[in-house]
Amino acid sequence: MKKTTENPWALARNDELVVQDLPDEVLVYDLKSHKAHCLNKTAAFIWKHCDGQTPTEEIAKMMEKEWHTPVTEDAVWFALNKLSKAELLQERIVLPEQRAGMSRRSAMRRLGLGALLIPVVMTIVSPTAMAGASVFIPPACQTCIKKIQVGDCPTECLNTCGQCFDNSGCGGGGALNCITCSTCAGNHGGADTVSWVAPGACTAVPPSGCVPA
Amino acid sequence: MDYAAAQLMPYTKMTASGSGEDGSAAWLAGRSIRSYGVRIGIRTNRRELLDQILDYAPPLWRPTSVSCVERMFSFRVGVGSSRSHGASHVLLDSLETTVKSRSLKTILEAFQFRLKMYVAEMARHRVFVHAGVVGWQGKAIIVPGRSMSGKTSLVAELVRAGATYYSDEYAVLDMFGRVHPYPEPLAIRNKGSAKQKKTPAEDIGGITGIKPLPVGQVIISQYQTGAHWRPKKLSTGQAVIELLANTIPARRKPEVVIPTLHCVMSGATAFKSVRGEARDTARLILGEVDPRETWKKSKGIF
Repeated sequence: MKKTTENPWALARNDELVVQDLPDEVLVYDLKSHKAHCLNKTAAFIWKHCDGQTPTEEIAKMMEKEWHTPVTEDAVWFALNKLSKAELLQERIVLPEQRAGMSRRSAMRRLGLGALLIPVVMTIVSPTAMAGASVFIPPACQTCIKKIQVGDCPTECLNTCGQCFDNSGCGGGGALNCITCSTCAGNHGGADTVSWVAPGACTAVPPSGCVPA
Repeated sequence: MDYAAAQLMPYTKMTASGSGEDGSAAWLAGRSIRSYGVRIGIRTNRRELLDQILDYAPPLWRPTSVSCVERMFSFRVGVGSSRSHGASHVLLDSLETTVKSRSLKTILEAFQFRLKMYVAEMARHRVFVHAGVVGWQGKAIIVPGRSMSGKTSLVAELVRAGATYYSDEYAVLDMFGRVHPYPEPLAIRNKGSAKQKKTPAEDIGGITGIKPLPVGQVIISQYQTGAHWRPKKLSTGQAVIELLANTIPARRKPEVVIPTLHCVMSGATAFKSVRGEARDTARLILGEVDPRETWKKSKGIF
């Protein structure tokens, strides 16, 4: 668990990150969480100056010099809060009470910065390889396939993952999560009490080759 | 097994459950192929089936003389036949579970799906992004997006409007940010149906590109009934994030993917908007139409 801090000498995280400098932005890929963050120029500026030695007040002054516009310390705390939520700082930041709860809109008002200078951190969760598959859950896989045996799976359900039940009703009883119809039929079918259905069934991480419902 | 066949028979160093290394199969034909740098082995107990299996391999595959492969697919066809159920077929896979079916097509489609995903993730010196691609005036237009986002219909309309077809599934990027063809037929869905029909670009009046192209535009769009294409220009970082969200090996090799996507965007412009009909949007993207004209037309203003 990361420590939390209110101290104004924030330290940027630098382990297990892939950092790519772009014109006016910085892209950061977190190898631990598989999240990608795009920092706009002000967020990137602040993050790069989080060396654990430069106080927020000093960073605000440096920003003023860089963009020739008044920058308050609040703007730096606003960015630190965003960077902290993105887990890009060594210690989690707790905003001083008077600076907490600022939205982007109120930040524009309170910080006196133009929209382009408001620190922004845009985050996505990187997709798994299977998430890129051009697939959907076909209607045939959304209804209970009862008394399943080898060869009973509709072709369109072949790589869709779902739940394999040890009864003929697609519900209750023992169930295996996230397996394909053919695996259900091949490994567990044969008896006329096995059934399979896809949608919403996958709560575990699907195995490779299995498209999550 | 004859001597010539034995020489060509692929093998894998990996042994896994379901690899089929149980000694019971008599593999009569086999082939090692290379697809985007990935070496794949195919074996079957029916010599005459080999060409049919290869029809399901990714586009632009080549045979290779290297017998040691990264992944092996073994087709045991027509085994365990019974009067009541007919012959069943088995696909043994060196990395994943075995697939059994009485339908040969089912087995072949499982092979196709698994191989396609594997190549897209493991390709050497290439980054696969889930996207449609066309060529236009010497540059590529990339339309990244998940399934059902309207990617293929937009690509089809771009091709009908004169663009060169490159792919409707993957943008295959090299380290210089150029996009290479992935020339599978377009998988066009009929309106209101989930079923896809494979349609060669030539059938809709297009041609298929051969040379790699630098990327000119990245189009982030989602079909929405009644919407109009009102593109907002994205920053380089925003565009890289949009591409990354559709990149197959994003997790496996981010240290390669991110610089590659940056390279792509160094010469490209990205636009984002919801869109209405693909035909109108395609013409706007290709710069044939002033967007104000389309808007006026939609409002009945002449």
